[in-house]
Amino acid sequence: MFEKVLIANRGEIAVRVIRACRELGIKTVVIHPEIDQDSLHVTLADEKVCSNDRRVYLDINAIIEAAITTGAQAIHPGYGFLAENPNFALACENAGLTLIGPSSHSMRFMGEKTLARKIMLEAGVPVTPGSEVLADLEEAKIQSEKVGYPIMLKASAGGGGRGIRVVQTPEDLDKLFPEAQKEAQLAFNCPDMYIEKYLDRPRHIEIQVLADKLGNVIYLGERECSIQRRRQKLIEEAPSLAVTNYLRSQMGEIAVKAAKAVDYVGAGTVEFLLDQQGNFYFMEMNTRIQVEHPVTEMVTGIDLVKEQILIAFGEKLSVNQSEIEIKGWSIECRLIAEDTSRDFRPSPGTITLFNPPMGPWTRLDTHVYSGFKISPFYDSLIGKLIVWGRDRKEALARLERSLLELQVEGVKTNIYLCKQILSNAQFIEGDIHINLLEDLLSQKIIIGGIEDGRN
Amino acid sequence: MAEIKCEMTGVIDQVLITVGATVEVGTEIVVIESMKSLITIKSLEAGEVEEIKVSQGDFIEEGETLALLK
Repeated sequence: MFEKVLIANRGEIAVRVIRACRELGIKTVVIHPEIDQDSLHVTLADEKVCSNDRRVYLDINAIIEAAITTGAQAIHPGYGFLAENPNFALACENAGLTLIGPSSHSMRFMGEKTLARKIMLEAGVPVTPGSEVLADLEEAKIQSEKVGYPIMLKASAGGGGRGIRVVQTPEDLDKLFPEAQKEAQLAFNCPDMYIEKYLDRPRHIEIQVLADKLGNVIYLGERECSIQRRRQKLIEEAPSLAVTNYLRSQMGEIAVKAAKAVDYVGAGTVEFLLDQQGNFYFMEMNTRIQVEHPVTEMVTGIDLVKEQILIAFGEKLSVNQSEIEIKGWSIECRLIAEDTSRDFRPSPGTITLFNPPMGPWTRLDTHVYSGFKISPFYDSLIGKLIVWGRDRKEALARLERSLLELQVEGVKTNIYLCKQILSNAQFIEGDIHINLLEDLLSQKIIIGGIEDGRN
Repeated sequence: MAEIKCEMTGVIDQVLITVGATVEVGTEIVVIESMKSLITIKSLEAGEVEEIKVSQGDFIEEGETLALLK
């Protein structure tokens, strides 16, 4: 096994990786900027390399050098930062370091959206009806007629919802095509656009896969991630009320096919949109561990981060497909330092009080504590609260109970918003889709702010 | 003399006013990058800009002064 692993990340995911390493008997190294020296991941790591650059988590050379100097044999990139950067994967490969993740080739194939669509189509994976990269507005019109309005214009190099427009009519396309191109150019330095059919109120369903270096690929069921705001997931659960055993095996087998088509190795997630008629379409594959991975861990009993490390070392998967069983229900909510009453603007500052919830089947993945100063330089996720129950009803009650116990003072958080979602009738019924939360917010059925003077 | 205060901590991404310009309540003053979001800070005061206290790339804490008005 690896003796030492460098974690090229921060926050809760760095803590999560350190825990997996410790349980496997692996020493850990972190490289961090001075401002992060009180963060839990730095406190917990066996060795620390301090940098005076707050952008060090994106500095490929500094990270590789720190790994070599400290004698780490592998690097875990977490999510975000360099996790899906093929140049980083390549730099690790060239330096003789093992990246705990897929090859630079797999990352490149899945990172370029139109290329990924093409490879998936060839592999027999259903993709949303749409086009390849469009030459100009004229071609956009021809392709849109073919697919049928409404359509979505998307940036080929896209991500994070930028460069996307919903187009209802050919007249709208005249205006929206150049606008989206301009936005894509600004955001990604590439104006290439393609179109996809617009689906009415679909669900976001994703399949977790694990692939080892010996060619074994398995799926670990689905995650339901339809509760989103501005395409950022907020509440995730496993399994999904919308996925039957039959649909699960269908989607799972397709996800395995998608992974195999790019010679995938490691933990990955194949994201689909599931329409109201039960048809599903490939959106993209995330070539990293995901924020919401714990709900899959809770219902399968498999430690995904440990599996990632074992796979990277060259071990065979510790389980086969027939051993994967989905047991009970798990729900996660993301705890975010933001002011939900002021257009969800971030709320950096010092957490004066942090009382975590505890009790049966309650898990909190976080890097913060009472007295922790949330820096304005990084993202606003302060933790994830995850529960397990025998069924959805028990899991929901447990999550509500945990949110009641959780106390965060000093910064604004989204706790009250999460509570409102959990007690919303439509959410409880499971009648959800990717636009639901924004609909409920615009109708003021769910509102921003805090409750009785506390978060 | 009125001051325009910054209502959040972050890094100045853009300064949207110039010395001598007239600002109203609600005029956009600066764009701040905080926790990977861009937030536009608007003025709560009206007047003529006498001095701008920040420039692009500066780190600013909540409550600090962005500009002075006369």
